[in-house]
Amino acid sequence: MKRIRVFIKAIFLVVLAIFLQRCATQTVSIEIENSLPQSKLAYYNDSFDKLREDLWEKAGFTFSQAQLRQFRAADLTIEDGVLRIKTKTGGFSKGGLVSKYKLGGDFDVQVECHMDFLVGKQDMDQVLGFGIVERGKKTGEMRGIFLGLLKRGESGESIIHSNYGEKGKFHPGNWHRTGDFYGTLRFVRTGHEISTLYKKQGEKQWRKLNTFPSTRNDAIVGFALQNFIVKRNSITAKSSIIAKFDNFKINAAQEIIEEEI
Amino acid sequence: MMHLKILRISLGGLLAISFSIGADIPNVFASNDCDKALSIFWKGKYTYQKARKYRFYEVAINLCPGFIRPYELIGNLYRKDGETEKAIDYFTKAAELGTTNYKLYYLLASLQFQRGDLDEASTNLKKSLSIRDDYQKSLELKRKIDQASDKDGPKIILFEPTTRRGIKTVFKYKSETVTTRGMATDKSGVSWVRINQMDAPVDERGNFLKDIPIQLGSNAILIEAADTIGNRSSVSVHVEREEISLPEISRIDSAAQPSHFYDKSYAVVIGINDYEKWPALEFAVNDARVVEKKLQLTGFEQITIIFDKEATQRRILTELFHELPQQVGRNDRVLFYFAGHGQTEELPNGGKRGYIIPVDADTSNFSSSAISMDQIRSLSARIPAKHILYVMDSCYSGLGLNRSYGVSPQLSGYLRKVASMRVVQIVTAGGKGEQVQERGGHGLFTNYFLRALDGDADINNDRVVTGTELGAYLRPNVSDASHNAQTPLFGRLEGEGEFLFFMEKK
Repeated sequence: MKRIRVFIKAIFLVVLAIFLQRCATQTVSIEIENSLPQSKLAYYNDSFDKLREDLWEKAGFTFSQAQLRQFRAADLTIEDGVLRIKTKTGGFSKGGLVSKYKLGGDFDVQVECHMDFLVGKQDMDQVLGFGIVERGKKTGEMRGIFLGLLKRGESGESIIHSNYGEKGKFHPGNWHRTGDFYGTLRFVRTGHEISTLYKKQGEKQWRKLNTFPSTRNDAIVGFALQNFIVKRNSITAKSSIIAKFDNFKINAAQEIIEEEI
Repeated sequence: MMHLKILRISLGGLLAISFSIGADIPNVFASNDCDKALSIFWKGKYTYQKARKYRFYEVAINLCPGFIRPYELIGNLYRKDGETEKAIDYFTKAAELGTTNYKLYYLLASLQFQRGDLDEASTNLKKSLSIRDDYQKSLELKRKIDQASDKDGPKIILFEPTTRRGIKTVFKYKSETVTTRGMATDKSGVSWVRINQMDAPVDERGNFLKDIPIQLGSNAILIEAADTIGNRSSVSVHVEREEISLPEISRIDSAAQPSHFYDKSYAVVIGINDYEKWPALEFAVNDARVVEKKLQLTGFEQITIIFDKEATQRRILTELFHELPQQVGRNDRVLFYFAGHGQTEELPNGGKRGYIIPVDADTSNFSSSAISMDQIRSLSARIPAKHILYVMDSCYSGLGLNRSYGVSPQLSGYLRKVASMRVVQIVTAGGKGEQVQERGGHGLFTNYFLRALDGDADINNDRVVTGTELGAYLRPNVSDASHNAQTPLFGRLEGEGEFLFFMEKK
């Protein structure tokens, strides 16, 4: 019986490995038709030579009273043309940027990021995320699509994964194991689908993680680093985590809608 | 099973999504907690209920009074709710805290504009445009504010004929045209200038120049200008054209002499070989010396010679602008001879402008350091002489010449008539792109000019060479001798008279 269990486990791992391998080598070719010209998109690209308050505002959302009570905004600094985010210790900490504009129609956006996971830190999580929020006009018409890196406190594993959430429910997607990450995260929305992709430094081809349904609502875009997952209610966080972001780029977009103010 | 466990861990809410807003509006935090203010602010940002937005933003402000963004967003909520004063208050606080949000300054300015505070609106709009100078909404509002605040037409300054503030001045002219030159300026830009209902060309600085025909007796010259908004202004000046008393016929005998036609004869002779920046010439100074001698022999009493390094733009302009107008009388003649470089500028409107090049002119930016035909025309109007002739041994076009023949030589008393009428004539060695030819130690053009004064140009053998005869002689002869490499240009800048040369007594 024990031999059968070992055999089944071995078969499961082989199938999983084949599945993951297939995902990892998938080539991606997604074209956005009728995009705004590059001359117009270029204004919104950001190489983080300075903090552009005309494009971004600082992220800082928390999910519960417990998190809010112990919330400490992470430090955002520009160093050598790169945005560096460093969480604070002793509480729930988060930092990031959210666009002051919305993307309409089909679009293709990406950002480079760099994160070294800390080892053996069980008193906090390590979460880097690139996100799209499709916001409808009524309550409940909001959908968030996320792509990012995660190392949960209790788990020793660091992964890259994506999911989407709406009406209080999260829909998971494929994930890959990853170590420290140097690469680019990307979203492409075409029609009623939104794909999450990534590419590690030095790789030529994009890897597609998931394709999720899209509401087609106008979407804000942003990215953040935080030391907690949504459900965490207590934290000690004796260490800071650091991530770096660079070269945010709108490769294509059919519409960009600026905020009034 | 670890796989599934990990998948349940969500990244959702990194940016915030609505179902995560579980917390109600807190009121238990100490003030000066800007970290928590940031989180509260985001709850306001993502709630769909306007009342909650107001409350979240207010709490964020209470927690962190220096946090600018909630002021901006509350202000905008009030603006959209039509509560202008409250909106202005919040926007003003954001501005006082030093926001760099160009949209806020625009919105603040637009509210102040609606309220009629044009000065404050203008100040905030300037801030908006100083942060982002291509923000279309600010640019459009600026136009509206400019329109609302600008009730005046362009300011007109008249250089010629000169006016004195508060004094009605009448100028007396003998010529049939008066050069009207000045500047029109307006902060919204000058749309057009009209002089006696004729369009006058205006450059980017507002300079305008136009020759206006005048009748015998009193003439009103009305200069009107409009700005881009449509506001108009005008100035007027009165000029009087006098009838010229003709020389007495009894004084003209068979051997015409300068004294029969002119009180005095002036010449300014300029030759430049050694340019500071332009290529050196070989015979220009020599030509000028020979011309000076020839002029002495043909009745010119007052000759000013300016050679090489003395022939700066300032010196030449001073001679034409200041010295000659002071010395010259109304029954005098003035000859201006220039041997040196010439240049032609292509104008944006497709036209051309000719220049003579002083010794200190730049090669690349010659338009500001050379002397243009517009300046020469303008300066000619200042010289009261009856007859003025410019002899330019240099090649350029864009002279703006009047091609009329003037009075017909077939008319009886021709000399008497043309001698009585003002004229400014010009002859140049060649046109645009042509090279001055030099032979036998002289420029080809000057060589033929000297021959013309020796009598070769005296077509009707009356021992008088008129300006027209000079042009008629030089054009074909120089062109032939140079194998069409240079073809002199001749014409009138003003008037219908004739400059007269008299053969030297043999």
